[in-house]
Amino acid sequence: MIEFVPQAFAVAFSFEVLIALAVGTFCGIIIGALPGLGTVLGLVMALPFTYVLDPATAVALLLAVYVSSIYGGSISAILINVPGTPQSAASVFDGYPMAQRGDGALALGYATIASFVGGIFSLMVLVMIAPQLAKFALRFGPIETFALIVFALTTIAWVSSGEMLKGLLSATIGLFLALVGPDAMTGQIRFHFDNLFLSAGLTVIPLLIGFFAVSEVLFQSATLKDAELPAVRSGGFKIPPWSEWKKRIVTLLRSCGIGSFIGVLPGTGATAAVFVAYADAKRRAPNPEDFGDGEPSGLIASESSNNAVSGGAMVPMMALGIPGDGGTVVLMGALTIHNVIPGVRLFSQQPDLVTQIFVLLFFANILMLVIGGFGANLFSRMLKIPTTLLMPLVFMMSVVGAYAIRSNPVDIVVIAVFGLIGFLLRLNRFPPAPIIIGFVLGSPLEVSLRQGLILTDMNFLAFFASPIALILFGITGLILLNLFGAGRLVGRVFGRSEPEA
Amino acid sequence: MPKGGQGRADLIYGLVAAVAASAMFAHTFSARYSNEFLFGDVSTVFFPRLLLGTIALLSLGLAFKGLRSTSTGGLPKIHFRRFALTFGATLVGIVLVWYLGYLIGMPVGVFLVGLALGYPRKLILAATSVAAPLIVWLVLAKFAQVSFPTGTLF
Amino acid sequence: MIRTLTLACIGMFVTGAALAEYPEKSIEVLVPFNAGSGPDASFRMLQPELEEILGQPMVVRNVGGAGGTVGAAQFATQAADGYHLAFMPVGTTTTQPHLRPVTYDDSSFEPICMTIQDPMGVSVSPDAGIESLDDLIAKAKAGTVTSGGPPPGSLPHIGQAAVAAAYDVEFKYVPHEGGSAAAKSILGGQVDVLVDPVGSILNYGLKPLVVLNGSRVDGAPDVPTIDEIGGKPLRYSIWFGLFAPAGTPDDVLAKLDKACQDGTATERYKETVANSGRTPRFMDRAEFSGFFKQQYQDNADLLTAIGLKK
Repeated sequence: MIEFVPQAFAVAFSFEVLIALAVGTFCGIIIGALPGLGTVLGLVMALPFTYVLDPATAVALLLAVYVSSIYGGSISAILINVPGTPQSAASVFDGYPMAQRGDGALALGYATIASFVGGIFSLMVLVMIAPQLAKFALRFGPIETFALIVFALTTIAWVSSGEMLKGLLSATIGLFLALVGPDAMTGQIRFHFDNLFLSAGLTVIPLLIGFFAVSEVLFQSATLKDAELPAVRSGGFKIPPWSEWKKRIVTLLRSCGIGSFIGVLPGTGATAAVFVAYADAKRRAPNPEDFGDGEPSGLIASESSNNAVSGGAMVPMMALGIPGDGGTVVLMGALTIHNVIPGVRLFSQQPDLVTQIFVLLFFANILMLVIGGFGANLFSRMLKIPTTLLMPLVFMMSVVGAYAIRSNPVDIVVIAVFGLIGFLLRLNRFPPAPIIIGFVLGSPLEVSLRQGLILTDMNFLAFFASPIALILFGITGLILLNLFGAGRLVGRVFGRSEPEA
Repeated sequence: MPKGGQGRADLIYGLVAAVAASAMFAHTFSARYSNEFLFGDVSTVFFPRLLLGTIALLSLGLAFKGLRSTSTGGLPKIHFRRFALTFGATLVGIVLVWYLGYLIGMPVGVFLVGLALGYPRKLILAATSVAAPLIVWLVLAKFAQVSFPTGTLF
Repeated sequence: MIRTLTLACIGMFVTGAALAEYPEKSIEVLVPFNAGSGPDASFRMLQPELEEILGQPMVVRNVGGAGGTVGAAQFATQAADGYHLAFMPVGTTTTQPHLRPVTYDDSSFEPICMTIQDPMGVSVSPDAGIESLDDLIAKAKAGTVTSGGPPPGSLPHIGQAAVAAAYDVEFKYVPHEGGSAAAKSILGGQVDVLVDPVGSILNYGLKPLVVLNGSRVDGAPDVPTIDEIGGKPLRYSIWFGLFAPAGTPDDVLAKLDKACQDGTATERYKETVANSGRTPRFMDRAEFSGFFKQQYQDNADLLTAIGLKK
């Protein structure tokens, strides 16, 4: 495959492809930064424009949108406490506090570079071991997937900032919300109370918008001091010093690894991967109490892992023809229309195309770094309007984004209802992330459990017979033990009233 | 009874959640959820009931914690009037968008929310309320063919 | 006489003009599945052809959920003015209505044309050591065979149930979120069988054992049909068609029918579809209408026979 690289580079440097990459990156960043739109919608919007383009240019445009929209979400997460995409939900924890204390430019610097490293890391993984990784991913059947998701649920502990009980409660509610709508196993529709629109279930972006964006609007309305103050006081782009990076290299690499790995395994998704990476970083940090207060490691963990998922998700797509996440579903559909059929046959029959895709992905990441760096200044300046003027616009984007994904009025109702609920929960110190974690994992958790039960004839103990599952359950158990310290379990959960920072 | 606002809030939230979860739990026994089994599978309400039961238990735990809370700390101070106005404005905005369509409803909605929040310069607010939704519509609906609410009245 | 002729000419001119005017603006096509999915991609292959022929943009609106029923229900209520069409598969229109309460039936839609018909095949993992359908049946008789696919009521599910019933064995069905999720389980060795369109089977790298069709499939010329190996004449395929709401004017339908016919005849379309592993198949309005009504009835009987419909 290495023999195709020079040709692939030549194509990448052609005028149309460069333009496609640049336009795709720029638009992708904006789409990511505007709350409510998201990567999948960005790809869907770009799709019709690719019909008239040749395959290389089309792929360039789509990959650029894919990669840079993931990064774009961090911009609004950091500057206005609203994640632009679900994958940036964890970036608000440390990004926004950094911006509030004047380190906004630094935060954007961390986010941009971490996103770039995440993208390149997963690209290298993709290039070097895609087929082998895909084979390994196949060993994750329903039972192993169930074990993985149970493990992922433990991350709730690290994003509950001391209010464990409330975090658990939110997460369980999130799990339950995921069950509204069609049951993937039987097709029966649950909890829709005979409403046609509810029968389609709920989706994550409206929930995220309601819970983060609208509740932020409401929260500002309740607590804002001065109507004239600009929402964004510190923005711009500043590259953090090497000394700061050196301390955090391990965190960075581990988060990239976690993102790539979870991206490869279809079923969990980028949002879950980000929280696992965040929890892991917090768990291992010498200063876990700083997480959630503007500790750069938290931001790095979040932004590198979400971009790493992009490369990871492309592994099963390219090697097996099985999409790894929502974005790759659209990507695959787009590739198919352009006569590029991902799967086992692609690697053997069209290796030049495969190399082309890798090279384009490389360039997409580079452009994301460059345009992101220069663009950050622009975006920060644009957001320097008073909060009271910005929040109505956030509200506008919320409505647009909620309806855009599937034209279902339920989604618009969701943003209002969960905006209110999010506000009430925020008021009473409920951590915002667990409900999203629960929602994202609810359906895969139930489906994998029930599939596993069918396969083992209702014998749950047989779940422990799988080596991979056993290892994952073991790690989960250790984490729980460590977390609670056997005897202090009750005292910890029904804790004293002072929450940890 | 708890002394501080925090404890009271926990108690109320916990009780509300527990009641809601129990009601849903009861709902799972209604006739519509009877029997669509495959072999070896659990019923479609098995997992929901598991979750609802957990929610009920955790909520009661929260209520209990609130009851026994000794802290006198309260919830953050809020401007209730401004909050209520803003929430009302968002609701009105949404209803207008739904019934009259995005092009009419959204500018009104944006304006109302801005008013409720207290943005002082009404003229700029009005201009933004018209310009921003229009620009977004032109780019997304016309150019990128994204779906926008078109109003159910006409 | 001259008066009659003049009136006739004016009449023709007016109706001709009215005919010539459709379409005057962009046409919305509802796809009741999410963007990038099989049905969505299948339509997008046709989209550029139709846009070129009709001279107006065709805007895709994805309304996914519950096997396409949410989108189809919404579509059934839309204006029958020719500017609202839908691209729907066999499952949404002819099997789902029999399985759960929906607000539409076969009389809610006007079929315009069929564009793709993919015969399905029975497939297993290439590493499973199963060489033919007989091997599979023998395995099922000797022990347990698991089959996977989309939720019950979908064509793959019905297909595998029908095969099992025809050979008097049982497959333990393990539902997945969709065909590709099931393919992953087959490749991973957790599940044994997947019944899916032959093109998709090949794309996943699975091994087709038999084709549930009257004739062999181009993409898999060595795979026998069920008739050839002496089995019952099972015919299962996933087809996609363009529809309009009931009550759409006849001239509009005729124009769309013609556009569909021309669009599916282009080399570009045929090549793109074939490359993706699908089988282009055009059925015009007259033929498709009859076929559609027949399928609606046949699938109702089939579902009852397999025991899915009460």
